[in-house]
Amino acid sequence: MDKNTRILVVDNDETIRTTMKTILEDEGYLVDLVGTGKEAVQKTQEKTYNVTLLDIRLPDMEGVELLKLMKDSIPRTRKIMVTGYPSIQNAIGALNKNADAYLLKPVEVEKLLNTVKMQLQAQDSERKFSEQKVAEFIDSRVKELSDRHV
Amino acid sequence: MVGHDLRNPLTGIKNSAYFLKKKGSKISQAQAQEMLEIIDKCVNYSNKIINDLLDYSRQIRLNLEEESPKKLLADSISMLDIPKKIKIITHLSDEPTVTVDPDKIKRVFINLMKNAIDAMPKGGKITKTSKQVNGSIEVSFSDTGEGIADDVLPKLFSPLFTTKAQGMGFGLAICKRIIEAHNGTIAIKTVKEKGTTFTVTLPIELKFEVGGENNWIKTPESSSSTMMKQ
Repeated sequence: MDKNTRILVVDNDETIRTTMKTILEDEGYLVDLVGTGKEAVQKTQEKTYNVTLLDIRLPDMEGVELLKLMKDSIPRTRKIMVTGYPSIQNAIGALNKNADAYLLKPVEVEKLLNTVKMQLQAQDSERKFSEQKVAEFIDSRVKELSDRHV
Repeated sequence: MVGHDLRNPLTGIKNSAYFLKKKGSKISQAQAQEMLEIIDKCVNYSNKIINDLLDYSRQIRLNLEEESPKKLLADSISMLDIPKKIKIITHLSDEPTVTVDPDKIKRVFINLMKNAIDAMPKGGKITKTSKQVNGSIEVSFSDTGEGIADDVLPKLFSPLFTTKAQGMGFGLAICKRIIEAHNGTIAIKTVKEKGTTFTVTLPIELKFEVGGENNWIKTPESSSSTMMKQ
């Protein structure tokens, strides 16, 4: 794991924020905590996060609303919804608004950590794929330009 | 709603238990203490949720006593942790005593004060007023918050309705039941961006007709064996 892997936890419950931070930091992640949607938007403007863990119910906005905002502002950040409302509508709503994973409270911590790892792997694969595509494009463009000058 | 609220403290307990188990004897004293305090806090919060549910579903029992509104308000405020950014202004006149269940009325006052504090996260002013109006006492709590949205007002006293991310929405529903059990009323006046006033009106002399309602009354003179059903 990259030493600089950064996770943002967005939950209005202080005990959840504190315990998440303790657990995730113990796994070697850098963790920031916020309790509202507004703070989350502000934090993501200041720093780049690999993963966000989002509660579905926040004091100032619904988690799915925040998800929608983040879809446009930080598309590469992996977004994991964590909710206490286990309804199929919530799950569909979250996934339709670009959540990468959906977990139910109280979450088995092992499951949460595995989900974070899987999302980081998916993000890494995406990055490598993008880099490969860019490299291929540059190679083909250089070749095209060289051919023209010959 | 209830599910979400109970799942939050359960998550706190689960996370703390996981960390305590994972670290075993390698955990630092400070971290162990922090995790145990979180478990304790989460258990207390779960207990509050269960108590609120039980309170709302069970019959109300009134243990009536003569009490002055001034004392009820003073006792209520002493049980609250008022943030420094909130200023409390008091306008209390000398009213006669009222016959009420003091613990239940204090619970209503505390709830209304807490809501007023929550309505002003950036700070503000709460004005407590009590005055006699004909045969009743009116106690008001005014805040200088944002006011309550029009679509929220009709649902405010409904059980399981809340605008807070944490809370089940039993607070005001229970307040209304308690005040109505005293033959009183609770009213709201709100102005957008100016604030909200909750007014509790209680009769000075509580009169009940036997039968019809689901409240149990213990009058100041009666013993526990002579409770009557209102």
